[in-house]
Parts: sequence; C-alpha cells; structure tokens
Amino acid sequence: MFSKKIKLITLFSLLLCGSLQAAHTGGSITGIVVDAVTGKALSGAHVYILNSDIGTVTDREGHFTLRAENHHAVLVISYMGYEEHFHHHSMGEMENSGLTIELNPKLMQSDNLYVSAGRMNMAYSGIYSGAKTRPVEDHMSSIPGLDMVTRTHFAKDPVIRGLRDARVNVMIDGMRLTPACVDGMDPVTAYVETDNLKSIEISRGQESYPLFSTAPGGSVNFAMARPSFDSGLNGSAETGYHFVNNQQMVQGALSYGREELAVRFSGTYRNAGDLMAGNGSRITDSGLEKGNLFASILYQPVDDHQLNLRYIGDFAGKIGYPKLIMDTRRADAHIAGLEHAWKNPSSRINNVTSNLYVNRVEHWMDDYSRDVTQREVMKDMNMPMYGKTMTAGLTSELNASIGSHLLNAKFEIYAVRAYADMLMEPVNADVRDMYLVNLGDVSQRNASLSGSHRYYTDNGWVIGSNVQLEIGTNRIHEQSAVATYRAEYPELNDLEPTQIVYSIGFDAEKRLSERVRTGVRLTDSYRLPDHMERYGYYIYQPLDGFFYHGNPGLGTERSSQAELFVTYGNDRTRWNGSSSIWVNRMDNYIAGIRDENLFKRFENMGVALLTGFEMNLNVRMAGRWDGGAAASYVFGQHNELDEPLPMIPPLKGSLFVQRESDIISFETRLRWAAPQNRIAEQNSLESPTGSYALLDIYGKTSLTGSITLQAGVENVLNIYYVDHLSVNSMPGGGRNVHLSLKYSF
Amino acid sequence: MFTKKTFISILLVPFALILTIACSELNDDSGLVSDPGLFKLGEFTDNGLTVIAYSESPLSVGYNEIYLEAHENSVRFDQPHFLFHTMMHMEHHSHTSPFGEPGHIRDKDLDLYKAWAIFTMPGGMAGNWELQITVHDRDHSGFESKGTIEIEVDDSNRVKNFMTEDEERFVLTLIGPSDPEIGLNDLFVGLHKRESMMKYAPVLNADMDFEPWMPSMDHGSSNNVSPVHEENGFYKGQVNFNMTGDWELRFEIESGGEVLGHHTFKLNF
Repeated sequence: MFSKKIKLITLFSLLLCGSLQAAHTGGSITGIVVDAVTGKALSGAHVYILNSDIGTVTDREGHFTLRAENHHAVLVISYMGYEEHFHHHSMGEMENSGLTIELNPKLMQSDNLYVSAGRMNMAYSGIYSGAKTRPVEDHMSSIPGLDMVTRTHFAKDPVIRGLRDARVNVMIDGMRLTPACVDGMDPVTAYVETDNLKSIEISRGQESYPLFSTAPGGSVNFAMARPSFDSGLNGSAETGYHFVNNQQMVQGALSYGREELAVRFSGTYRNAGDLMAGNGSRITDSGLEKGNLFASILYQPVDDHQLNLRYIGDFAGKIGYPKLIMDTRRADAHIAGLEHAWKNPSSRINNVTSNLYVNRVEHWMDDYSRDVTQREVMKDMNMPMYGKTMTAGLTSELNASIGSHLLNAKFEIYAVRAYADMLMEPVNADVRDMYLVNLGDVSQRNASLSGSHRYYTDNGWVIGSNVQLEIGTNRIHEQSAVATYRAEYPELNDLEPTQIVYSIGFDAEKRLSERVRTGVRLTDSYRLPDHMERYGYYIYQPLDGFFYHGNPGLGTERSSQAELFVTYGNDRTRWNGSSSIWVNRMDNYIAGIRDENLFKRFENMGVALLTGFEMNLNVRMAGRWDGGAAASYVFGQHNELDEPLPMIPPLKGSLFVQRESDIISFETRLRWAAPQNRIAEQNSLESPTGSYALLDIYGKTSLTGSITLQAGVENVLNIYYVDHLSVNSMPGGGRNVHLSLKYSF
Repeated sequence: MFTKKTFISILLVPFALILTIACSELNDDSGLVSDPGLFKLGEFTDNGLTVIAYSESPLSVGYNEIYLEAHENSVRFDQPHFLFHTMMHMEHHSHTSPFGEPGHIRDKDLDLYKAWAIFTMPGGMAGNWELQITVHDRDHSGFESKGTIEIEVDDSNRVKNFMTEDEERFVLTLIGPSDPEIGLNDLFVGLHKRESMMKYAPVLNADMDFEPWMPSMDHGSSNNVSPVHEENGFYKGQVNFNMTGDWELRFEIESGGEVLGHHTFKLNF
C-alpha cells in the first residue's frame, strides 16, 4: 500500500511539475517544493541553508534558487502546516539530478494549532499550541492588530484594526455563522474549541489574495481540523486545569485513516468556577460549563476528488457575565458542512473547492440569578431573552495559475434568518409582563462573485488586483415587526431593500533584495448593513450601555483603505520582521446616534477615520532560543461627532523569549498595553483605562514518547488590570497556574 | 342498477337546492327580522311595535355602539325614525350622557340602525342606566311607539369626567384602539362638554398633546400623532406601541388657549 502511495505521489508530481524540473548549475541550487500527498507545488515555502544567512522562498510554482558556497550543504525547507524537512546535499549529487522536495502534511494527532496573519505567515501560538484544552482566543492573543472584546472570561470577540461586529468577518472553515444573542454574548468564538481547528487564519484589513473579504476590518477563519489518509488508528486524551477559575477541561479524540477514508471524532468539556482577578478578589458568577463535539469524515472516492463532511455541536450551560445584566442560561449550536475539493482539474486550474453548509444557533439568557432591584438599567424586572439563527450557504472557489499569473475566483451565496424576543417580568406582580420582539424573524440573502489576480514579474514585482460584486436582499417575516418598523420609520417606503455593492483592490509588491520586500495596497469597498443594524430592535449594547434600534433604510458603508508594508527575512532567517502602516477612511459610517435617554438608532453618520500600524520583529538566537517583539496601535476619530471612535484599543504589544527542544520547551512572554484616554464621551459611555504589563511563563515537556505535560503561569505578578476592550471594566484574570497532561497514541 | 328512479332523484337534488336558496332570499325580501348574532340589551313593545336594542358586547363605561331594530309581528317596521337617549336615574337626580341618535339608513354590515352612547359611570349602587327610545314613522302619520330598556353598564377606565377651574365639566373618552397591536394604531378619543344634566355638546376646537408612556420601562415611543378633531367631538390620531405591556396614554387638552386638563388612560395589552 505504501509503495503504491509513493508511486502515486511521484506520478502526481511528474504530472504537475512537468517541465518544472530542478537543476543545479554552477554554485546555485534550484528545485521545486511540492506537497507529498497531492504533488501540488507549494508557493511561499521557506528554503534556507543551515547555519548560513542564505535563504529564499519558493515562487508561485514552487520553484526556488539558492546560491551555495560550499560543496556540502544542509537545506532546511519549511512551510506552515507541513513537517519541516532537512536535505543533505553535495554539489555532485545536485548536478546530476533535479531536486524535488516533498513536504509531508503534519498529522492530526501530533499537530499544533497555527495562527497566521496575512503576509506575516507566522505561528504565534507559542509552545502551548498543541494544548487542545485551551480556548481558541488564548491562541490569538499576541497578533498585532488583533484585539478582543471581553464580556466575561469566555468567548472573546475579535476586533481587527479597531473594527468589530459586522465589520469583521468571522468564519468557521469558510462558513458563516450568525450569533443568536442580540446582546453579543455568543460571538463565533463561543462555538469553537481548539480541538476543532487546525489553524486560525487572520486577515487584517482587506487582504487581496486569497482571503479577500469585503469586511473592512478583515476576517478570521477558524480552519477546521481534518483527519489524514493512511494514518491508521490514532487517538489522544488530554486533561487540563486552570487555578485562576478552577477550570477543569477534558478532551479526547479518536481518528482513523486508510487509503481513501479518514474519520475523526472528538469532544471537549469545560467547567469553570468564578474568576479571580489580579488583586485576589473573586468575580462572582463568572463561571461556565460547556461541551463540544466534533466529527470530520474525509473521503476520496476517486483520485483528485475529496469530500469532507464535518460537524460541530456545541452545547453551553450557564455562563456567567458578571459585568453584564444577564447570564447565558443555555446555548446550542449545530454547525455542519460538506466540502468537495477537486484538485488539478486541468493543467492550469490548481483546484476547485465547493462548500455547502448550514448551521443553527439557539441562545437563552436571563437574569433570574441577579438581584434586579439593585441595578440601574432595567430595574425591578427580569428579562429572559431568546434568540435563534440559521445560516446556510454555498461557496465555490477556483484557483488557477497561468504562467506567472495566479487567479482566484469565488462565488458565494448565503442566507441568514434570525429571530429574537424578550419578556420583561416586573418584580411587582401587579404590573403586567411586557413582551418585545427584538428581531422579527428577519432574513438576509446575499450573493457575491469575486475574483483576484496576482502577476509575478521577472524583475521582482508582484502585482495584484481584486474585484467583488455583491447583492443583498432583506425580508421581515413577522408581521408585528413589520408594524414596528412602519411605526418607527413612516417615511420609508421600502422596509425590505435590495442593495448592490462592489469592492475593488490593487496591490503592488517589490522584492528589494533577497530578504526585503515592500509593497502598497489600495482598496475601496462597500459594506451591506447586517441584520442587526437593519432590523435589531431594543438591542442592549453592553459596550456603551445604550439600547439600539435598527434602521431598515440604512445605506451602504464605504471603506477606502491604503496600506504600506515592509517585510524582512522569513521565519527561518536569523532576523525577520514586518511592519505595516495603514489608513482607513469610512464614509457613511454606520453607528448609533443618540435618540433619547438610553436609546440609539443606527444611522449613516458621516466620516470615520482610522489609522495605525503593526510591527513585529523576531530573532533566532543560538541554542534554539528565539525572541521577538510585536506592537500595534490604532487611532480612530469620528469626524461627524468630532470625537474619538469608541472602543479603540490602545498602543499595545508583547515580547517573548522561547526555547524549543525535544525534551523540554520554555517560553516567557510579556504582554503590555498603554493607557487609553482617547474615549468617546458624547455618543458613548466609555471610560479611560490604565496601562498594564503582564508576565507569562509556559513550559512543555515530553514525559514519555506518548505523554506530554504542559504547564504555565499567566500574570505571574498577579497584577490587577482592565483591558480597554473589556466591557464594563471587567478585570482580567489574576495569576493563573495551569497545566495539562496529554496522552497520544 | 342505474334505474330511472335514481336518475330522477339525481336531477331533483340540485333543483331542490336551488329552490331552497331562492326561498331563503325571498324570506329576506319579505322583511322578516332575523337574529343578528349580537348581544341583546333588551326590548319593549308599545303600540304593536317591538323595539330591540343590541350591542356587540356587554355595555361598559365609555363609548358603545348600540343597534336598534323595530318590527311588528316579526315584520320589519318600514322606515322608522328613532329618538334615542341615555338616562341615568340616581337617588336624587337623573342625567344623560353623550350620545348619538341613529340615522335613517341601516348600518351596511349589520342591517340595523346604529346609535352610540358614552356612558360616564357604571350602573349599580349609584343608579341605573336606561335607554329611552321613541319610534315614529317617517311619514309623520302620528304613529308613535315609546319605551325604555334598562341596561347594565360595567365599569372601565376609558372615561375621564373632569371639571376645569371655571367649573366647566367635560367628558374625555378613549374610544380606540379597542384591540391594540404592536406598531401604529389609530387613536380615537371623544371630548364632550356637559351643558346641562340633559345635554352634552361636542367640543370642536380642542388642541390635544398626546404621548404614550411605559412607566415600568420609563420610556415612550416615537412617531405618535396627537389627535385632531374630525367631527362631532371625535378626534383622531395615531399611537405607536413598540411592545406589549402596561402603557399610559397621556393627554394634555387645551381649548381657546386654556388648559382644560392633563389626563392619563392606562392600557394593558
């Protein structure tokens, strides 16, 4: 069986590579890097000579060229998601044979979770990235330009370059998911566990290729884990414990792979008590309980065709939100998708991938465990709320290469249907209950067609462009909601508008030297208002303490962005880094305008301007030691109101030093944030926040070949701190000693 | 099996049906009264004429529509002219309330003569309400049938009887919405001035400021329309209910530059 596989791989390689044979001439080494399973050329793989400063990355067809100074050299080839490959060569060998490097994809049972952010393409997860029992947001905490809205010690909501909610497209394996809680207590991160994922792909701003998204903030894609063919029977069991909130976690996975079929089933359970803040104070009612099931079936009926059926079932019990006015009582999510991948349909088309999906989310929350007579907002009444959403869609994506041109085309159609209501039960039994529909069974149907193109010139330029056309329709199914919006907006003739938007982008990148690249990107896009902005009614926004009313008459929001970037080296050179400065002008900016008292209505409100930078610098030191630093800053101003945009993260960053080895790995990290005093006072209830610096320590060791112990201490100095994007000044966790034990077979 | 007898029977069935329907329509045309399916308030017979009063539901304080029918031995009285008013008999005095006499044309929907009355207080210990009805023929031949129908009037919170500083007495009546729904509802109110114990006059020139309010939520709603006069002391506006629950309908009433009063109706739905 194995030899047959090798033959197939070789055949694929030959078919794919054709004339792209490697050769060595004079003092240079040339070759191609391909996927060992599919034979597909790997563009962007890092190739360097060990113990030297000589290195490069493969071009769009997997080719590389290195200049060698010695007769004997060790080539190191790495690519995200693949096993690192070492190749010993002598000049004579290379002169007589072409060099084809086959990289093996990392196997599921031993993989780490990778987090990539655009062109930085770096694994930020640190040495604990193999810990499946950690929440997904823990793996995203050091990406410059990416911040998190914290509502409780659970399910943090991604904020990219100061933008969030509908301005950031958060997906699960390319599938859209619509949170059901109208108060934002169940962002997409609530329904995925680290166990479900193989990587987190972050796009800051409007990346043009291949993660192009019209969301002006960018996108986060939680790419699902998938089993591997021919992997046999594998499994793992992991248990973890966090002292800071008495959190117990258990995770187990079982996978089996043969030649044409591979399956994986896994589950995660978490149960946490109250969180202890930095000053040692207990944050009461901040516990949680949830379970998560994951299944993935990969089937290859014929060569070059793969079907992947996957399912996530996520079931949360009570989740405490001590700084909000309600707690989650229960939340259920069912996420299912069927993907068909067709590899190499023709000599020029690399792959065609289609994904049909449907997911359903239900969310219940209430304040029955609160003393409602003592609060300021919605005093003297309980307010159980219910929300449900269903999202279904179909995407089909094609990637092709013609000479020096890379082409990507994508068709997407999806529909969202959402309902939410709220009962208000006065404590005084003589006062009648009140009932409100927050989302009157509304639906949105969108279809888009997008394409992007990259052209690699002979003199080191990469020229890219992209375009997208999108149409969105809206409908209100519940008649009481129709009546509500007719009453609220009597001037609107059409409560269910159809809108068409477009987005265009252009980027140019120039390789200035072997290690230095620089480029510029310009985009202009329009965003359709989402169902909450258009139809949400009486929606409490804990970020600013206002109740929001949607506006069916909202116009589209325009985002014009420019970015200048420089990169140096790669993750295998001694020094590497990247930096970006960017500006984002948003016209017809959609925001809540104060109506009366605590009410806001969504309106297109003039111009908002955001600008900022991200930078990171890493160094490989002797003895397998690494170090690095990252920082980011966002400046946001609402020109119409002449005040800062609300909830903009401060200058913040991180420093780390780590050492990885087969026996014991170690990492220490410093997370810091400057004060944020630029706050929105006219149109929000924002508070300034102070600076903080937190020290974390992680360690990992292999006790036996199959048992791994990971342990660490976060916030070692037990500092009390409040992140600026923490809702209602919810403090972060205090000193957290945590450990996990993992058994793999 | 299919005999001549069966064939004739099949032919006769539709024929019989057509005949039945035709006879039914013939009965209507004959002027025989039928049960309108309403709540019967009472009847009297005088001078050979029976007068029956109906309403859509039991009467209550506030605006009520009252339907009248007159017949002789179950045959409709042709072209009656009704005189109608309300009367409350209390221990020491009697008084009427705002009312409207029926027109000469039958109500299209119910095929009855429609009157209206605003009862300003419930019947019971304080006194009893009655409808005093007189019927003439429209030819003025001298025929008259006269009687009273005692009625029961339940309490409600849809009427505000108030007196200004000038000791003028008014009746503010919340007429609609009678069945409120989420969204914009037509708002109807009546404003009548008591000129004497036996006469109420419509107020034609009042200015009304109106605001709905939820006291337990401490907010109101938007895009409401304050009522303006339409006819005979009846005013029409719009009220926006954005949720169900306990609402207050708050009115400030002015007339001739003078504030007549601030009045609030409570409404639960």
